[in-house]
Amino acid sequence: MQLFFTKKKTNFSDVWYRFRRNKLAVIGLIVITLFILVAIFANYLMPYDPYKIDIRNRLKGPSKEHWLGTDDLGRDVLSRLILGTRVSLRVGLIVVGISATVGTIIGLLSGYAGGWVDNLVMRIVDILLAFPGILLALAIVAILGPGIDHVILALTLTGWVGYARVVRGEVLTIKEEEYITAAKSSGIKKSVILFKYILPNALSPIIVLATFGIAGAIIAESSLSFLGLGVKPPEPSWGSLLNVGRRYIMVAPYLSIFPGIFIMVVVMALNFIGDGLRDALDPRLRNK
Amino acid sequence: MKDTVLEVKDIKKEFVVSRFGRKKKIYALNGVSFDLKKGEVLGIVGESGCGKTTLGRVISKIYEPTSGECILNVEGKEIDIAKLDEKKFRSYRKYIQMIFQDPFASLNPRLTIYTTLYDVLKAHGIGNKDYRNELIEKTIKEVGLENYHLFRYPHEFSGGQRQRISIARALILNPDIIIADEPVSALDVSIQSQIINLMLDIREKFGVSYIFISHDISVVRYISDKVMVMYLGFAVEKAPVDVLFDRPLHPYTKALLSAILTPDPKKERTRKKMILQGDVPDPSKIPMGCVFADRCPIKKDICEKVKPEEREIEKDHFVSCHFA
Repeated sequence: MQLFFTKKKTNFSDVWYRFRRNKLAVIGLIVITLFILVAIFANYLMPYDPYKIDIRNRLKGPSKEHWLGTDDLGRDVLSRLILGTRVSLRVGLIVVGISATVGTIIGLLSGYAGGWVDNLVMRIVDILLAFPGILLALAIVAILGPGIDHVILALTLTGWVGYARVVRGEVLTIKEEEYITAAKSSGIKKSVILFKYILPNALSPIIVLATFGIAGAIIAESSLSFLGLGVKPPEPSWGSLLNVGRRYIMVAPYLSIFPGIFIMVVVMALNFIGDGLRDALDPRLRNK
Repeated sequence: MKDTVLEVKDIKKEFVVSRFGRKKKIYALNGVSFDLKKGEVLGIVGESGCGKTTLGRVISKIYEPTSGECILNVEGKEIDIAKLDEKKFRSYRKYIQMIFQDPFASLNPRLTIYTTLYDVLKAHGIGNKDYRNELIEKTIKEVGLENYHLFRYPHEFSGGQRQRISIARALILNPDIIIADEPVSALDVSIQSQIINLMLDIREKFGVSYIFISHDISVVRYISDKVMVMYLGFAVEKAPVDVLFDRPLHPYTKALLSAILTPDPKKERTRKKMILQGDVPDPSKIPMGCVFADRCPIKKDICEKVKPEEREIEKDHFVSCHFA
């Protein structure tokens, strides 16, 4: 008896073991951890004051003093990017975290309940999807006033619908599977069926959607900032830096290239993590 | 009648399907009755779409019956489970367990066998952790698997092993009735006999009754004590297994039996076979007379107009045919 239970591996260590074997996923995890550390310790990492204007040195390309060059007001781009990490990661992670959670739960319940509940929820989703998300976010921020928290709220309010729709579709297929019928007939409670039997089997599209969603949120924040509804200049975010750079794309392309690279690296890292997580959570792929 | 564990009376099930907004009723079960004694195996045969699976699922309350009674005799009392709502049925669920057809689809791919079994015990609030573990260990041995199998995932097993796991999942609650819905049709012939013998061993040991649903008549003949032949949601013939195979009365039963191959190829070639034409009628339009009339080789006028009553021809041998 005792012997038999010492051999038991916990679910978590099992998943972690499989995750670790995916090199790209581990690299992704390291990169994201680094970015989070950068966001936390931004104050100590910035080589220059990100707000210090130096008109004489405006639009200088990358050099020994300014690794990533200076912007249209002569501010150090690297410093501004480091500080911008805070806003961008916060918007990306919080928006996706909340909207994925909320959307997943609503989608699960809606798909599982079926009938008029499902109909009602899906019509609400349809309405929100038919509306351009950025316009709705614009309206919300306009009502509440500008500010990064309001941007997060606005993006979350429109963001959950995508998850709800996808999860609901998955649930509709999975709930007809025989193992769900079998679980029901052995008397397993609905809540357990929903979260332990259906949810893990519906996870892969959620993960894929979430990794892209973070990039989407970072870009959406920049659009709102561009319209003066997100972070207020001179406070930097990756999106707003990208936007400012657009104006000087012919004379100083690096102004938009570097924020673009930062966004791309984060999105790629998250994608790798997402892929790794999806595979690690699926026991069928264990011995790949 | 005290050793009857289950008595089904005139059970009916209708499904409502709507296609392009038009609602249509599908009559899946049209009044089926039978009883099941302790330790008995009832075989249910019939072709696809005759309502075998629906019957199993109505009894285990995966589907709610439209009408009829389903009297479960456990704990020294009789309960009509057909009328119980989901909440009240919960405490009786452990008496009726199911084994499903497809062993590849009926186990959750993301859970180890241990978790699958543990969840079942937990759902019924049986024992504490140690007791549950003990029970899991005991049950897994009972179905011919070992402890080290417990922490594997379903995809690591063969079809036969998975079906053993399904049996373990049903058995662990110590049920009185196990409904086996085509438990061997997805398996190789060599594995089929292993699983069937395992099921029979379990019956010997625990006194479980089976409702064994299958379209394979030879398997049913081997395992069953009595057989019910279904057609379009009706039980057209019911009899003890030997009686049914010796003296089939309903023309449909005769046709089914004549489809079994004989081992001797010479005899097989010359044997008179009864081959049915056509398909099972549309279950949304149940014929007024005998349900089998449009495919029956001995049909007369009366068959299309009058529904045959179920008659007991000899002891325990019931048939619904005007000419039996």
